[in-house]
Amino acid sequence: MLGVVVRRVAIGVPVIIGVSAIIFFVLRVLPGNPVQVITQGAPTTPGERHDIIVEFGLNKPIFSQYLSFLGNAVRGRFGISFATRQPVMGEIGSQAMATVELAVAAMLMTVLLGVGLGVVSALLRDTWVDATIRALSLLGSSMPIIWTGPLLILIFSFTLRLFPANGSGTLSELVLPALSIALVTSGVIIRLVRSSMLEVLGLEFVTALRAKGVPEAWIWLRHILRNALVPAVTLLGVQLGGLLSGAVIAETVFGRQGLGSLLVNGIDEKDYPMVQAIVLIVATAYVAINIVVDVSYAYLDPRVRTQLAR
Amino acid sequence: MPDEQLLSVRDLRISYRTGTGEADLVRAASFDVAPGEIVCLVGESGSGKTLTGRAILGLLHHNDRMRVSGSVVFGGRELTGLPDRSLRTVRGSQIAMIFQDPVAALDPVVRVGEQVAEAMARRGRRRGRSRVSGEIADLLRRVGITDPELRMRQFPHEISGGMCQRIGIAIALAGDPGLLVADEPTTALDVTIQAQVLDLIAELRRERGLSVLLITHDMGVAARMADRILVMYAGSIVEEAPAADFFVHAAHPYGLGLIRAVPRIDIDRPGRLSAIPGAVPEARNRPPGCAFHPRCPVRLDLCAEEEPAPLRLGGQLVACHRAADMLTGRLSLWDSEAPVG
Repeated sequence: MLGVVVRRVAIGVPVIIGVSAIIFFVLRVLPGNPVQVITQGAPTTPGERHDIIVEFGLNKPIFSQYLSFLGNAVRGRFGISFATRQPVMGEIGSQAMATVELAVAAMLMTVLLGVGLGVVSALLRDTWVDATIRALSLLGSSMPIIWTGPLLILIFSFTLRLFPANGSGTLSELVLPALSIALVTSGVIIRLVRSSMLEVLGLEFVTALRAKGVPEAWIWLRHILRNALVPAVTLLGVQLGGLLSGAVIAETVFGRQGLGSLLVNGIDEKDYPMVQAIVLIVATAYVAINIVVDVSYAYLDPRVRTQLAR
Repeated sequence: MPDEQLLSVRDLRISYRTGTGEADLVRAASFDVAPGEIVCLVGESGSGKTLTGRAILGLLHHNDRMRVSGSVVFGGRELTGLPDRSLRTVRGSQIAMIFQDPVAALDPVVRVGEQVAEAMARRGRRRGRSRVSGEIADLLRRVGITDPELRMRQFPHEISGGMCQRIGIAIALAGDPGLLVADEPTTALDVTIQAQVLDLIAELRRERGLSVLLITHDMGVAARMADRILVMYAGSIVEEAPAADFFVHAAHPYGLGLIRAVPRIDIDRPGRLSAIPGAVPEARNRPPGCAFHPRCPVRLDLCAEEEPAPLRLGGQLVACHRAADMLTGRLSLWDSEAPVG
């Protein structure tokens, strides 16, 4: 098991380095002058502008800029924000929790909706309930958050007055943004859980369980669901990418604080250090969570465990 | 006589609904199993043996396309038409089943010990955890599993096929059933393991007075195990006979064909294996008259027109127009080049 983790980390490192290169160079290709951001549009002399360029190291060759960015990043230093002239890690640290909260809430909702409705759909297969769930899951996963977000606000905030439309901090303010993300990510999970449960239902061991007199509810919960979760967990790991990008959009739509709004502002303001830091941190989290998913996959399927032990 | 029987199946019909109509997979099968008896249901693949075994336990309910009718009486109680909840009290604790593919019959992600425990828990007794695991270990030891404490903690894929079949037998025995339906229990196993598993079943019959309905296509297995033989062809039971009679003078050409298809080292010369030509017809394309007539070396014109009714000849019950001729030895099949027509 430890071997798996080590191997996955070894694969993850080049992925993260690749991400750092892409974000670093793409930012510098984009039009716009960071010096204007740093001076916040105030009139400056050429000498002052030169001082700023030197202060932020923007005069050095681009590859040496990249290497020093990478070297500092490994030590957890992401530099000074162009916009606020404060260390970016401080600002990220104060905003990160809001995003983690949103991502975790969205993940929980994805699992609840995905597995719950998937099981109901499989149990009541080929009934109107099943048809409705499948239609809704397709609808949910095909609608973007910039559309479902306002729709949810319209229904649950303005009409039903159940949850606040925006803000961050309280639990009730978390519901709508998390739901808007989960609607997208749970659709695929619902359909996968349904189809893999029905696939397991046709296997011989289910007949064998019935033949030994095991109650049907126990067969479904302990055996069929457990077997069907193996592929679902893998997909959940893949869905995490969608979850994180969803969080960025949902924060903007629902006017929440967090890394998403920080990132969007950073891109607007050509705040290189801020954007680089957030992208790199999110990419690292993504890789780390996928390692966790791989390990839990082995936990769910003992056959994988045996293979890994070799 | 019926009250002496442990299991009485009467007029069992299984049909399968397709897009265009219904296909009869099993047609009016009737047979009995007495206490402590081993009855072998033999026939080629596709003849309906497995379905018959599963219908006894009511396991076809779960397929909406299957329709089962007729009567299955076990220990004086009618099982057909019982709701699933009542059937559950029969399954495992009165009639148990072992399966052809022992690995596929176990849940791959649940430990073996727990799967045995599930079969024990059915009897509604409350016992401590350690007592249950002690009982499981005893049961596993009984079916010839060494180091049961280790095996209980393993998963099916960590165990050999033969061992899995022993686990399957342990699961079947856990509820202390009166009848064991064994569906090709040795087909997926190596020959040496086959013999061990068959010996175990025979031993359990002697020890516990267990009745066994052994479904097999292997005539060697049938000869070794059976008290009585049921021959199934295209969904019908075409011959029923005490094993001793059957292997000496099978009265149905199909039954005799099955026996003769087994290579014999003492008689056969190389290149003289007698296979029955052709294959079992599909249920939808069942020939008129006797379903076996297109493959039968001693068919008459009558065979294509009229389905033979079962006829009792001594201890044998045969559905064949030529049964009497078969028994009196006036017919010989396959070994002479010119079958009598």
